[in-house]
Amino acid sequence: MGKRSILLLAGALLLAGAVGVAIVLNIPWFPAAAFSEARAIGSLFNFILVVVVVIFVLVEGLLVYSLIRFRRRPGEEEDGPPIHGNTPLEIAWTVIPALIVLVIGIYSFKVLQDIEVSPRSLQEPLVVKVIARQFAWQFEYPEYNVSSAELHLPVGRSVEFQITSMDVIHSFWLPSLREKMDALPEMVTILRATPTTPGDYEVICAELCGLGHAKMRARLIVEEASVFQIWLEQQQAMVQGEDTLAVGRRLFQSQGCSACHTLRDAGAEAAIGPALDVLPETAASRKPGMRAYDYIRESIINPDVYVVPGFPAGVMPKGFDQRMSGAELDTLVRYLLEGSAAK
Amino acid sequence: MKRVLLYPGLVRGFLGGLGGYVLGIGSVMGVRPLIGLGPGEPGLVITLALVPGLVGYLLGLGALDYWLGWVGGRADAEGEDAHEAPSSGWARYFVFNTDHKVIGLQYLITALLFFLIGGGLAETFRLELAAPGLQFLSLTTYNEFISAHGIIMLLLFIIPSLTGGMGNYLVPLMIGARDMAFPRLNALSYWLYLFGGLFLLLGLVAGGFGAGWTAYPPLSVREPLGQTFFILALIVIGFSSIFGAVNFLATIITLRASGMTWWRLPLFVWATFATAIITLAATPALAGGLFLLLFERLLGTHFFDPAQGGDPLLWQHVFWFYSHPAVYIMILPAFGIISEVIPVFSRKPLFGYRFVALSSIAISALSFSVWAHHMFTSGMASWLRLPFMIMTMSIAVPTGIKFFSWLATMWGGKIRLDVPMMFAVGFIALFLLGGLSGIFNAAVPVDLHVQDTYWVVAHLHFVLVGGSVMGLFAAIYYWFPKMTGHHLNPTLGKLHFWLTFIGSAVTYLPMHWLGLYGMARRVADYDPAFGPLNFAITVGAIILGGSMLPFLFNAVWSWVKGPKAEPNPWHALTLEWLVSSPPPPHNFDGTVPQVVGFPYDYGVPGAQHAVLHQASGGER
Repeated sequence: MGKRSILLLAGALLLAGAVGVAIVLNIPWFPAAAFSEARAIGSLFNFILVVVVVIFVLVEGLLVYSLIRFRRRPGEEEDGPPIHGNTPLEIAWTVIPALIVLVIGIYSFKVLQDIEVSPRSLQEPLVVKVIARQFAWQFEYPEYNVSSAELHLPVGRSVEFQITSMDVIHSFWLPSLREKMDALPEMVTILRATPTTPGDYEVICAELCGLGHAKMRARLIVEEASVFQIWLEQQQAMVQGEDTLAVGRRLFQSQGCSACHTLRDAGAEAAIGPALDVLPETAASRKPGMRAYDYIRESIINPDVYVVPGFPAGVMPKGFDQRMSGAELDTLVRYLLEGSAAK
Repeated sequence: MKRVLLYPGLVRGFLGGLGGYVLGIGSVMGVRPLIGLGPGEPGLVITLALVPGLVGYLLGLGALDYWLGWVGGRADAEGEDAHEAPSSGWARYFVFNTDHKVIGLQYLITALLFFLIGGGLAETFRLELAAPGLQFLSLTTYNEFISAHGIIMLLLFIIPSLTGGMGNYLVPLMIGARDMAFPRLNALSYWLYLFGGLFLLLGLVAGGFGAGWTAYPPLSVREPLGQTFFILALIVIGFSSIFGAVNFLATIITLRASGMTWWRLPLFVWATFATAIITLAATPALAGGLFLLLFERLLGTHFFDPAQGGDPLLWQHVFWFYSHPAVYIMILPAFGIISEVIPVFSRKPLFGYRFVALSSIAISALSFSVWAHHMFTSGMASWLRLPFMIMTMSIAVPTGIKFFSWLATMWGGKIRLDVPMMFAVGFIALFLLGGLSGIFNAAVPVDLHVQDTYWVVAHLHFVLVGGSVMGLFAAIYYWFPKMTGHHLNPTLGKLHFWLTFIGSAVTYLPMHWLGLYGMARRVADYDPAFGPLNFAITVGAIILGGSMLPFLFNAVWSWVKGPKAEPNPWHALTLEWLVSSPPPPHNFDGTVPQVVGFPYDYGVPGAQHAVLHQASGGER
């Protein structure tokens, strides 16, 4: 092969590599970032991406070039030259990839240290208990005695997620953080993060956990510390209140109902299960002969006995009668029957 | 009709299995009340009845005839083909036949049938996924479909077709042997595989299993009866694999023809050797884990129950200790096939033969050190992630050696783009994508994001479809003339190739982006914003499914009516091309193979890998 052709080929591959790198670095691969850790992970991803694109272009380019340049011409019946190997070359293409993966490995180790070990803020981290169950998330803030179906976080204060499951293995995935950690029964796993960017994000279950796996999501809201404070106070006020409306609303939110149902009064907008705003009108007629109160109560503690047409059975968690006292359950039912209509 | 029912073979085996099973169930349910127990939980009854069911199946098949005859003191000293089984014609494929060529084709065709079933499941749930919302599959059925798809493709299609199919057919021929070291054990491996495969399909209708092909507890402990069928089927298939591995190792080590030193062994044989090492060392671990899971479901043990001192991570470690090496079982034979095809169609020696041969052994060894990279987000001890990350990244090195060697083999050659070569080139192009996306997965911080998302689905399909399946088809187009004595139609072959290549690209490329952007794995429904890409993926899946049509038609038509094939249509040097197409019953009948040179000396005038000496009288 002439020196000129080799130079031309090398030039073409270099150009193709540069174009490839330019393209992939400009594709929006990730959703919006909400945490500082996302940046280090994103940089590592980009680094590996560049390395990989260069290798890809090199190999595919040589492949395509060979298919054209060394294609048997019509009438050519002889074999190619009997070249068996080239030991220096073979050593080179063993050592160089080994060095490349070594570099990627070291960089990865450094990023892992950065996102997990290095202290980020001067304050004590905000502890949030993440409780996974088939098929809803619940978030508890022990420092504030608050429980919620939505994950609210203040900008600038590190969070320590203490993650556990009430039944099977789930996985707590925050795409906006670029991290996930499995939730296991009887065990607490830890994820640490520092929220930086206000916005509305997602909590997604990432471990097959049963038939409701695809539906197991929650909202993540990152907000300025002052806004977070107001939200906390609202949650706490509901805990301290005495009237049915406030207690019922607090129960509705802390038991995780907002994860799947719409109820305007409680600020819930999910559409995984039936909308509950219509309950005061429909509850008495859903099951003929059953009082509205009884229907609502049964729907909570025994959700599969009657499933509203159009919704899948087996998704709503069972066992709510174990998670609430009889009085709380009664308040919740009355809230759903009367309270939300009293507006 | 009488022959089919009374003579040893598939039908009698099926009846024997059914009879044994019914007997087993009846016995268990009959005995239990006598000792003061209730009828027994279905899973327990099914499990206990498996033993008589399997024995009845093997007896009906005639698999045990030789041993029973030997024990009973049979008058003659007959060798392998001891009964009046048909030894020619299509009927021999439906009986217990010990000829490795028959067994290889039995494996290949059975595996392709399972491929169609696994593919049909995929086409169905891809139709469901074409639009957001649930259209026609329930949440439960969806989970069952993806679980079945995974296990069928991996354990009933890819491993059997590449090891049981191509490995069995080719290895004895390539090393100059009459058959495998243990022909009866070989046949037993096939028929156990068939039993296990059918038993797994039975599990789909007997309650289903929806915990993924990975069956993690606690979920898998709570799954319906189908999960028990899954466990039992995998145990049976696991034994089939282990027996096969013993056979390959014994054959390759002891039955090589005179002159076949290790450095003259064809690379497909090196690959099968490395694969057999993995199979032998890893599969028992899976069997162990499966027994633990079985006991958890049936006997109330607490291996995986943290409330009682167990740990769900125990399953993950034991499962992946097998299942990671298993993926190298799925790819090493395909690497071997590519190493066979590329030199022949480049008319050049394989570049760097020794490094390539040793790289298979290196991959085999390294494959045991990486399993927990499937567990980076599992909650296992965080320090463990580092050694597994390092070892995982290091596997890129021996894999890269192969790729560069293949490129260097093509470089400067006289490339003929026949269909086998097209699939080999397609393999290089597509597997590369899967291998490269694997580097991201190895880097722990990136894996924390991509684990359990569609990024991983993209990665695994590029290496399995772009890799193993492409490799399998390269093998089929290359060795079909040898196996059947007929040529496949090249035009249909090229159509098959392009549909597979384009279908794979359209189906699996968008999955990288979906995973990164927020689509988790194993989900029946997704964020509506992902609708258009999912629709495109489904279109790709339909193209991929459609690619099987020209292939199936071509294979059936050509086997019956295709142009007759010469002994060596591709002008290759390895031993299988020195005999007729198809080979005579004992491969080298009437001749003694002698290996005299390198298997890939293309371009060396007058070079020969092996010659066949005329056998002297009495030698067989």
